[in-house]
Amino acid sequence: MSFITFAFLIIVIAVYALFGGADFGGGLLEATLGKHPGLQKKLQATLSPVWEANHVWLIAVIVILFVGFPKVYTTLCTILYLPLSLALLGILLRGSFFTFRKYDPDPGKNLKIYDAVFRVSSILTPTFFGFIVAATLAHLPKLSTHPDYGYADLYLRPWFTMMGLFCAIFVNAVFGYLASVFFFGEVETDKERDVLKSRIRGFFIATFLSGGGVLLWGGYHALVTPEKFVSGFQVGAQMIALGGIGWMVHALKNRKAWQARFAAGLQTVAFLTGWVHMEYPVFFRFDDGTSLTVQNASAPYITVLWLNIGLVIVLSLVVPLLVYLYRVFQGEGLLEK
Amino acid sequence: MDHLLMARSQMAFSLAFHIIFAAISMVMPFLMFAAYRRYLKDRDPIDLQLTRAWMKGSAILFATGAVSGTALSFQLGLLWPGFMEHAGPIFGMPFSLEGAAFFLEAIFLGLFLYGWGRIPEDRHLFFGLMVGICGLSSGLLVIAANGWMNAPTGFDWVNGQAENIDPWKAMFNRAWPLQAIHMLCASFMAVSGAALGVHALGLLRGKGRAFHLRASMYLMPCLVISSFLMPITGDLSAKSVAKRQPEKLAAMEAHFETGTRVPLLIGGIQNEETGEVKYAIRIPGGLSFLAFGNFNAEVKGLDAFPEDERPPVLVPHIAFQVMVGVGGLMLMVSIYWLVAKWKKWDLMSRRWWQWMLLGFAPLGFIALEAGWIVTEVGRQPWVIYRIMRTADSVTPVPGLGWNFLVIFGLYGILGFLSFGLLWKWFVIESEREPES
Repeated sequence: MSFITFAFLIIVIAVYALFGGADFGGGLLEATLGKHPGLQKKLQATLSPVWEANHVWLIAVIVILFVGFPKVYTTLCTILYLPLSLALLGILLRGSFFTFRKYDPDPGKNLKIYDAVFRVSSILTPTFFGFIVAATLAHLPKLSTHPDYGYADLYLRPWFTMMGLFCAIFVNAVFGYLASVFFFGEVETDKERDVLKSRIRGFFIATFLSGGGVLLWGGYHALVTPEKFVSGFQVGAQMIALGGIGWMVHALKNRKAWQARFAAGLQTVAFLTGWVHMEYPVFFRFDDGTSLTVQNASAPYITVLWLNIGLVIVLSLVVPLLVYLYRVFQGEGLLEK
Repeated sequence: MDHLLMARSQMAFSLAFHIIFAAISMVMPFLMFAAYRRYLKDRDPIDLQLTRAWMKGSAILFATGAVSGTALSFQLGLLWPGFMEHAGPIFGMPFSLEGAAFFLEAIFLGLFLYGWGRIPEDRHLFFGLMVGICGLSSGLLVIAANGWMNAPTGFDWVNGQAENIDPWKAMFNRAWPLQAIHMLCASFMAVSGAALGVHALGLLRGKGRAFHLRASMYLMPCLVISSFLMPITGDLSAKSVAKRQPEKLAAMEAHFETGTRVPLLIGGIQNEETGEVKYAIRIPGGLSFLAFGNFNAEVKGLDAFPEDERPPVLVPHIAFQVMVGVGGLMLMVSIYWLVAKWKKWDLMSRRWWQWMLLGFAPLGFIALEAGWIVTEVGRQPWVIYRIMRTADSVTPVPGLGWNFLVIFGLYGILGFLSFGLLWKWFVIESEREPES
């Protein structure tokens, strides 16, 4: 039963990575479009109706964690409280400043502040998500077993690592890539499409380099389990993630916006699946050799059962409505009066 | 400040901030829906103007409520990992459903905000209603989780571990229904009272008279109905607390010694050491009657409980008085308005009435916050009543002061900017000529 909850967790994380990720990436993309104010405006208008729905997936992740895997949630909230709090800071600033910018009838000098806070916080949150992802590979100190450890040993060193930095760059690059691809179908002129193609290329190269960094650094320092690292599944998944670029190039060339979106989605999901396969069933490892796994960190059966039933019902309500929401606002050039 | 108090202060501040926005998103969409419905029926442009004004208010405040609510789902774990580790699997059901309601609310709000001219009118109206229903449900579901903290049920507590969990029983705990309905009325009272104050200010400024008068036609009935329901739901809540958490009632009423025919205290300054209350007005047998419907009933005082299980008295007692005082004041305003309506006086055009509504604007929210202070401080020293102490659930992470400072500064800025934007729109909408 807990495996089903775990599967839901990964699905929800994947959806959040795709939609929330593209949303965060939208902030990063906006920051790179300084010379194209028209595109920036159009990007903002595209995000407006959907940004809130894009981010509620995070609440779903949090709820599944604390109901289904409470120890994972509390580990995240104690040893990794610092990157978690900083990611949260980004979420608070980003959502509110996006809305303030949108609804300020006369922003004047404030516009620069709105822009700056929105863009910086769009990078802040994925950066710390990256550090948290890297920490799932590290050996975290168990709080009760280290009376001699100071603050930095307990709350800084476990996550503030080179691997964390690679992951942070990687997450930002993927999100920027997704945003550029998703946005590609919303623009109308060839000139705009060329600008976006160059961004897609740039973010893909950044993704490739930082992703390679993650795998090589992780492999070299034995952070990833060697036999799983080169398993058929893992290699296959990474091949799909990489090979998807062929489909992407084809789709962009023929202006098939939806194909490009599916290709980018496939690449992201493939990478994520490979990663999860490599790590399963471990959430976190501790330096005393123990670990939190899908089995030993799970809530009691009855809780997990009802959580799963609830998730099925909720998703079957939410998904059709979301599809409707995206369809109503898709490709209309959402510039408001 | 010591570690525990710092964690509690941070939680209290974050909740107090979020609750303002939560209450607004429980009520504002219904006002927006009512105005829009009437517009679709009568095609009066003023109703459309009102719909759009309240819609903008909802949108701006929803964003701040959404981010501060997301923050809370993290803060529960960041500040109280001991609590969440045990409570998560038990009271997760209402939280999951709350998450779902919030999700649907975000979708419907997106559809309503941006659906003008894109979606058929009747469907658009329906989406507006759904924003309200989902917002309301999400608020009420969170209260189920809080109710469980006051009346924990649906599990056996064996050697510091929860066993035999029944998530549904936990959700439908005894505290939920009354807490929910009391909060529902309080939200309607606070939001309609505050909005009336804002529109009264519009009338005082002398611009957009028709717009503000129409607004008051929607708001005043809300205020009247909710302020009449408040004392009823409040009384039922007090009776329920008297049975379930007698020490909370004792703290609310600064009632130190167990006795019969216990007086109800109005005002007064208590000395927690000696258990004396000075300068209070005493209604003989009042508390006995309030709690058990019998002037001679015995009411347990704080002395009936071990010293380390007593809640603090000063804060809940003052907060309780403030809450009841505001409720009484709002009821008087409502009665006066009903009399005026019967006598056909044009109250809304009178300057003193406008000034009074303006002055009363924050009162409903003050009462709302005070009510939550009574609930939460009155439950101390427990986080889960008689199961887990707040002190045992606090995070081991040091340096909470820095977090608090950041949250304090940040929420200050967010609050200032949100309400600053609302003010800008208020001025624009007041001065706009209605368009058809």
